[in-house]
Amino acid sequence: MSDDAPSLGPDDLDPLARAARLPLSAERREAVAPGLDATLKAFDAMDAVDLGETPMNAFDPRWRR
Amino acid sequence: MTALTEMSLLEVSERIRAKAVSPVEVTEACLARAEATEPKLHAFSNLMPEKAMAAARAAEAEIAAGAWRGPLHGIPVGIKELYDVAGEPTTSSSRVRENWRAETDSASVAQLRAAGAIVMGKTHTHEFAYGFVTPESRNPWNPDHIPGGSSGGSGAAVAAGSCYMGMGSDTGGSIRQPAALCGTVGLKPTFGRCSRVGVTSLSWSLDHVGPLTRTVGDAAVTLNAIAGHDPRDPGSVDLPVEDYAGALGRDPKGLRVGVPKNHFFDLLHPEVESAVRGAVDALAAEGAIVSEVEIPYADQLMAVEFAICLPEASEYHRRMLRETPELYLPDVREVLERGEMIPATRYIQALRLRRLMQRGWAEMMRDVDVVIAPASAVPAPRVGEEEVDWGQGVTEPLMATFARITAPGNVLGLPAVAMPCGFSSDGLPLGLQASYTYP
Repeated sequence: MSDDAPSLGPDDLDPLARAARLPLSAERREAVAPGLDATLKAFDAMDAVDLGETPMNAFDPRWRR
Repeated sequence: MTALTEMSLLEVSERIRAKAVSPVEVTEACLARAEATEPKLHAFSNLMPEKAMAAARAAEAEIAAGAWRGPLHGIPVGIKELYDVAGEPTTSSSRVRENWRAETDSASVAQLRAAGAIVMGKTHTHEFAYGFVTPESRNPWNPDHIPGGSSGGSGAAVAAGSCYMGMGSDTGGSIRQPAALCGTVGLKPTFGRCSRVGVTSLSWSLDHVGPLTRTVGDAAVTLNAIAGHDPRDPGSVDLPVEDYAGALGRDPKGLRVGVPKNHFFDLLHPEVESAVRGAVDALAAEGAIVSEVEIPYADQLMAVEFAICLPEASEYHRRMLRETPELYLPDVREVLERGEMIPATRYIQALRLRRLMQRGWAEMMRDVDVVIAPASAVPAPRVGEEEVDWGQGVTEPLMATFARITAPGNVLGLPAVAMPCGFSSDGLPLGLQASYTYP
């Protein structure tokens, strides 16, 4: 999926930042776009796993015997 | 004769208990060592000599009166800048919080003081614990190299001999990686074993607190002091505290050691691999049973770590990022802004996948007692390096190089301890990490 996904450019961050209510200048969008693009593409690896009906709160990281 | 500041915490503790040396002498020695090394290393953000000496005198009087509290009594320790220390700034090594002052001790500091430890001062962290470099500090083995991070100040202080234990925190490797780079032990306990109250958050689902020390025994007695349930920490586990020092010195004969055949030994400095495998061979020579293990969901580990950490960190910094964004370091500001635009569905997907990873690791761990892997893929990089060149056109950002080795322990919440296993040909420490056992 990562190979097909279009890359995010600075202009693509404008609606994302507005939705997050984060003031992000053009300079900041230039700085953040490459990292965000790489991060979102890295997240595509999670799509390879069939999660079935696993709920989001099924993980308990606390140590138990 | 070994200098006081070159001894382990337990060695000094025995001498204190026997009244062969006083906490005042020990603290004076550590302060002198700090005075000698700090101009180059900058391990401490806030050295507190007057308060340390006052505490040392009080400890001396108590012990002279026969009231020895235990192995930490009279022992100088460093506290990472993320932790609240009453009456002192908690800046998280950031200009954003330069005026932030703690009114009360964090839970761990209160526990350490109750055990009689002497707080030497606060140690530098990578800003808000969000990095692997700790830019203010330098590596005691070669000051042209980084100490690692984010607990790099504690790693440098312990390795330099300025204190016997440095508290750290670990969200993606920030105790274990500086331990590996500075040649110390670094313990990330099981998630929920030690209270995080009074410690600035990075990612609530992944944050752990723990010590950096010179020996595993030192880490064990420190864990005895700081472990325990704290109802004020929602992640705290309500289970009895064992004697973690009780297992020290056990014969490794029959210990089932798992060595990963995937993930942890991919893209590794050859000297790191040689040192770690050499350590495994040494255990096998002592009777350990070594086998290969397959790390489940290896391709998804980093995605899960970052899909959880980025939005949680950005949420914690939501107000500060809008009010004073220019006060953050550039690398931290960028990743915080990035985290604001992670889809919520990816965060939830990561939380769901975490459960399957937990099951997979539990299954994998049925046949082994401990998994041994590198604690850092490379020896300490030079100051200013931002990526690793693996050759043949392959380069990797430093954060990715470090995180892929240590973040699995945070994703799963499993206990992991880093310890030295050799030196590079350049004289830099090399470290392995052990555990990942599923209790």
